[in-house]
Amino acid sequence: MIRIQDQFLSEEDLDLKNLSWEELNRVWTAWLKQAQSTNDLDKDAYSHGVFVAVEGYEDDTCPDV
Amino acid sequence: MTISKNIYLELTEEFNVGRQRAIISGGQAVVLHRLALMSKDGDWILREDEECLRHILLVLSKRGAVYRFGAPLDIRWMAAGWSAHLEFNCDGMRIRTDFVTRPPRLSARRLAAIWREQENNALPYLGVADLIETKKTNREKDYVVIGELARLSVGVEEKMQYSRSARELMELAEHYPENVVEAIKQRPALAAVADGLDALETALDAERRYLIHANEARLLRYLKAAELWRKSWPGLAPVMRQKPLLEAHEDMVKRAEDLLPTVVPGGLA
Repeated sequence: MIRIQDQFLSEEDLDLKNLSWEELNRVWTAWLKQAQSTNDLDKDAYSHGVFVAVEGYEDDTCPDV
Repeated sequence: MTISKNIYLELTEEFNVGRQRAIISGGQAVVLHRLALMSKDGDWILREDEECLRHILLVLSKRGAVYRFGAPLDIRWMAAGWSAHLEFNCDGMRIRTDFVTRPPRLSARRLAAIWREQENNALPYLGVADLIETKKTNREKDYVVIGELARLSVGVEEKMQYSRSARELMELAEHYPENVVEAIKQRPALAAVADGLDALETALDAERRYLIHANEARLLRYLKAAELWRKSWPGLAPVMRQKPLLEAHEDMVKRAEDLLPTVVPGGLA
């Protein structure tokens, strides 16, 4: 019987569980280094906390200088 | 377990020298649950006491960190639910560190239990259920992560509370009907199980939108409370950045005393 399962994240995303601790750390650091390429795009962004932008809020987002 | 030297783990080790002060949350906790790499920033829940906050600042000052716009890492603002945000450069990487002492949607009682549970962990990070609660934000992508985190839940009750899959919830309800009645008290959307898959999917979508709007309403309270602070920041930040972090922190606290409220009505609700 074919069973359909809801997909949230891709299989590549979920492959972290098959990595050893050292492999995970290597992949993790490599990903962080690669992700630096988007620093200009997200320089004003907040991922958590209470300063996260709210759609429709009139004031500017983070006034980082 | 020997903790290897990923920057976020390294920082957590330094934060927790001598006592448990910081628990990893956010995207790096998602990594530790082996789900996905999706966040560049580090998020920690900190103990709400002055020694802890001083120690964190000391660690970050040694790394040349500077404040981003946010609240001072001071107990008066942390206790009101504000968040503190700092960043530094390390090995060519921009490293951001975000802190709260009162994460949203975790009660004081639950938070106290988390600290007890994590007391002796060499690598403290939020468990599945608690991480899910913190991820009920106004960002659609967080509900994708909740969907996968919920699959790590242990026990029928927890799966019923957190699953984002209507199919899986229908299966659970079929196998454990006695659990559904109790689960509905905590999660009203589950009442739609009785009406079938389509109805449950609709109910889950409505639930997600409700949570998104609830978090937006919460954030708006803080954003409005921070308006004067926001206006002052462009004048304050360049001066702060010329100083070592601990001095900059003192400047920031003095200005915040006048401009950033230490009580935000409805903020911690």
